[in-house]
This record gives sequence, structure tokens and C-alpha cells, in this order.
Amino acid sequence: MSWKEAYIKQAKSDFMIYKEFSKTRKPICQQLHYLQMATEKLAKSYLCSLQNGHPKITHFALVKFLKICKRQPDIRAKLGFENKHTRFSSYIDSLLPIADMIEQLAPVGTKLDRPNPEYPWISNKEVIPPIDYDFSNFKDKHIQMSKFLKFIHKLIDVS
Amino acid sequence: MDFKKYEKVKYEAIKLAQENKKVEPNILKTFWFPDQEEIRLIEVENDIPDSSGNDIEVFYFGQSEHVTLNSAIGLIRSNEIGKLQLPENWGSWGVAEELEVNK
Repeated sequence: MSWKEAYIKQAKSDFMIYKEFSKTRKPICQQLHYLQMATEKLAKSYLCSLQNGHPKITHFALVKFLKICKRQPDIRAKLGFENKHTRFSSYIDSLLPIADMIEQLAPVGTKLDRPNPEYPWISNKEVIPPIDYDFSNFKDKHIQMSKFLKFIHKLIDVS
Repeated sequence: MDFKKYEKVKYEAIKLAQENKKVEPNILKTFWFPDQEEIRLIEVENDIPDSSGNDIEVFYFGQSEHVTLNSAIGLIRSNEIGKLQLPENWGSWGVAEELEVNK
């Protein structure tokens, strides 16, 4: 199995867990944790193919990947936008704000000072576990999230 | 069916559909599938990937300050209306009610 195939397989598994957790209304931090991991691995699977090997170790691959997507005719065709360059470009642009929010969920190094769905962080001298945080910035983004999730679902299917 | 519950869910469904339309003007149609607990919407938009396979992929969201019920939303293209398989327990396309979201 290549690095690319392995990343896709793991991304599929993470996304399945996300879907199950959202369907059964598990805590939002657990849902977002799996969604962040799935999207990161899916993005990295495409970065593998560009670099012909293991992708760079970074959590921040998703937004970069989406921007690369806009220039990839094969991905455009697989998603059903063949010969519709402008529409595809606008569509990808519409996903970037949510993609950025999800990318920013990744914990960074040892300096845990911002909300993330995996580890406790410190804010105003108070230690907060993800389970006690409501991630309200995601809560009223139904249509944006639906569009983004549809994109991830489709891309996983065709990868 | 409990008529009061049904009306409450429908009211919230219209509110959510209107919000979605404001954010995403490319939504062409919104179908509501009645349920007493959960908002169930299928929104039609052509600037999205076509659906994989024969099933509608639905995504689930919890309650929030503005949407006080759990919700489930599927996105499809206009040529997929009535053709794709709905999620289990949603009934058939025949029970769907198209919502007027531009009002």
C-alpha cells in the first residue's frame, strides 16, 4: 500500500466515525476531533501524490489542499465540474472559511492556549477541557458545514 | 402525529431554510420531510458535487442558540430530485413539502 492509499483509508475511517458521532449526537468536541483528523489525512493523501512520498508533518494541510484543488482538472472532473472552471473555483472558494476553521482546530505543539477538540487548554488562568466547551462558532453554520461535508464525502468516495 | 410538535418543527425548519438561503443564495429549492423531533431538509443546489451512488448523504447537527432543534441536511443537485434514496425513516419523496424560503 502506498502512503497515499494509507492516508485515504485512514481518512475514510475517521470520517465514518465523525458521521456516526454526529448522527448519534455525541459531544461536539468528539465530532470535531474526528472531522479535523479525517480532513487532515485526506488533504495529506493528495500532498503525498505531489511529493511522491510521505507528506510533510503538519496539521495545516487542508486549506492549502483546497487551493491546489482549484487547479486540478482531474479532481474537478471527479467532483462533477468538468469544463466548469469558474463554477468550480467559486465553489472551492466558498468552502475555504469553514476549512480554515476546521484546520485551526488542530492542537499546536506544547503551547495549549486555544480551543481545540482534543486537549485541555488554558484561558485566563483557567484550564478548560474540550468536553466543557461548546464550539459555538460551528453551531450556526449548517449550510456551510453541509456543503463542506458533502465535498469531503464525495472526495473520499472518488479517491 | 402530535400536531403541535409537527407545527413547531415545521416553524423551525422554515427558519433554518430561510437562514440557509440567505447565506447560500444558490439554493434553488428546499424540501422539508416531516418529523416530530428533528428538522429534516433536502436543499437543492447545482454548484455542488453530484451525489455518489443512489443514496442521499445527510449530515447531522445539534441544537444551537438560533436553531433549537436537532437537524439533518442533505444537499443534492436539481437533476437528483426524486431519484435518490432517502435516509431510513424519512419516508418517501411523496411526503416532502417544498418550503417557500424566499418570502
